[in-house]
Amino acid sequence: MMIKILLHRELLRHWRSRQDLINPLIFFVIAVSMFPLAVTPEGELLEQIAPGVIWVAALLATMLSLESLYRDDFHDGTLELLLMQSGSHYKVVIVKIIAHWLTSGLPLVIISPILAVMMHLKGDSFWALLSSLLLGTPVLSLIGSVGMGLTVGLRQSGVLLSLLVLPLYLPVLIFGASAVTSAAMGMEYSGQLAYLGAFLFASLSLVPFASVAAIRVSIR
Amino acid sequence: MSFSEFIAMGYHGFYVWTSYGVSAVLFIALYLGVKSQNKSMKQQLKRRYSREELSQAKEAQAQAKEAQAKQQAERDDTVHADSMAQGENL
Amino acid sequence: MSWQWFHRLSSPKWFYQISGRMLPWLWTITLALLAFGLYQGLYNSPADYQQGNSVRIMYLHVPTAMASMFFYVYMAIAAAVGYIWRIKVAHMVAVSIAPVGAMMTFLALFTGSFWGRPTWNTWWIWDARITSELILLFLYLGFMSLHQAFDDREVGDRAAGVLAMVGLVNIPIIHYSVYWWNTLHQGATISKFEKPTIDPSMLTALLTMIVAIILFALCIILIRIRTEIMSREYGKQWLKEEICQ
Repeated sequence: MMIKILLHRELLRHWRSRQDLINPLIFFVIAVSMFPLAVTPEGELLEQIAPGVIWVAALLATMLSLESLYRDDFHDGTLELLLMQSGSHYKVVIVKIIAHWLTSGLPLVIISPILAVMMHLKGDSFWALLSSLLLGTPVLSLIGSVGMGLTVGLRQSGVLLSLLVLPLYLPVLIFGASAVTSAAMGMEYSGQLAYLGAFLFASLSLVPFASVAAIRVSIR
Repeated sequence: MSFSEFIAMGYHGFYVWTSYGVSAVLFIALYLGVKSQNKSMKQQLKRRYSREELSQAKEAQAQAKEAQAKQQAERDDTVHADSMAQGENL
Repeated sequence: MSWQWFHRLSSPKWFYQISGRMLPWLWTITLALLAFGLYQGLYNSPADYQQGNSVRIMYLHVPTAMASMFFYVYMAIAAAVGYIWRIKVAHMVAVSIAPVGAMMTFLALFTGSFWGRPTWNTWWIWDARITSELILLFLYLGFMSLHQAFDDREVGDRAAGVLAMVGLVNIPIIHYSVYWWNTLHQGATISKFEKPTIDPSMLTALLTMIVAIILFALCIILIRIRTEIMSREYGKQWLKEEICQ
């Protein structure tokens, strides 16, 4: 019951600040668009760099969106109240992360086919891109929540957050981009997807505890 | 190996000596930095401790003076009371 | 006996006094080993059959790389101990290790680069170990930055502690991912990464330098911990006596 209420509240909160959700999305599109301009408009080369470019842009866009996870609740004390309840803290954090993913990760996934077309990604790579992002972006939200929990009380936390979280994102990046590259070369990519799935389930079970610990430290 | 051969390191001298050189410089800099941090922290603490002792000594002095003044005031009172009593007896 | 020792270890006073007595001995041993290792490595051992004299860089590169990894694990464990059991000394240890570990990582990358240039004709290469080492550097820097960012030092200790623990768990994952990624792209480069043939005098030099550099780092770290203790334990009587004697 509480999960439904909390989820409803989170989604409402995100909806009320829609502008904050759109910005990372726009960033995603602009960042990807810069590469054809900076490197070459030739389809062949673009196709080669597309998986990496789209995945890196997705990573950076996710990091921009992490602010919405804890910041407002931290500053008006809601976070503290939520954690003071004797119920399961795991549930609180998971619901917040799910709401965050639904409002920032999922839009990235939905927009990615357009970017794939822009970068001349063909055929099978489409599905590889979609599925790898679908599996990978929740992991990004999860791991990002730990970094966000640690830095939410700090003033200039934006760049510090990237420094903390990006090294931890690298495995997701490696397997995600590799899935798309393999698909583009016509090879099997289910192995990479399996790894991403493993990361997803491992993070789902373990990361919220670290996230709660991180928030507890910041609330001190 | 002659000395010049030692320095040349078979044409790899630049790489070998830069590596060892930079490492040596960094290690020495690290040591000096850490040592100086330690020393300045010690000096800082010494100063704080001596200032603390000084202010404690001053406080103790001030308290002693207060106690003295109080005693003096009490003695004056009793003298005053005695003289008043004497005055009444007269 | 062991619990007693553990309890004593968690007392800043005990740590300060013991480290004060141990440091002169540790320095002596370190310098002796360094001298012997350098003599052995630079003079008394042969050049490699294939790599020539550039192999002598190995006597710096391998020890610093091993030190960088060893000290990260130690830092993360200390941070975890501090976080879980709230032992102040543990946090002091973790915070003191970080910059030294970061420097070791940097030197590993630097010497590696200078070893790679004459041997494989390239300053940098994205192979699994080098890339993992680079990521390790980022992890150290992240730890240091996060700790710095907090005004309240104890909150900073705990925050950095959480980060170190998360990093420790992630290291095997990162290493495996990077290794996997690298095997995809290895192809033509695989022939370039043959290890040098080890002659016994080379082995002596290598082992000596490994121990020497780890001990050197340890001495530096102990000095940093002593500074940290002084910084945090101001009001204590024992410290006053130590300093003002």
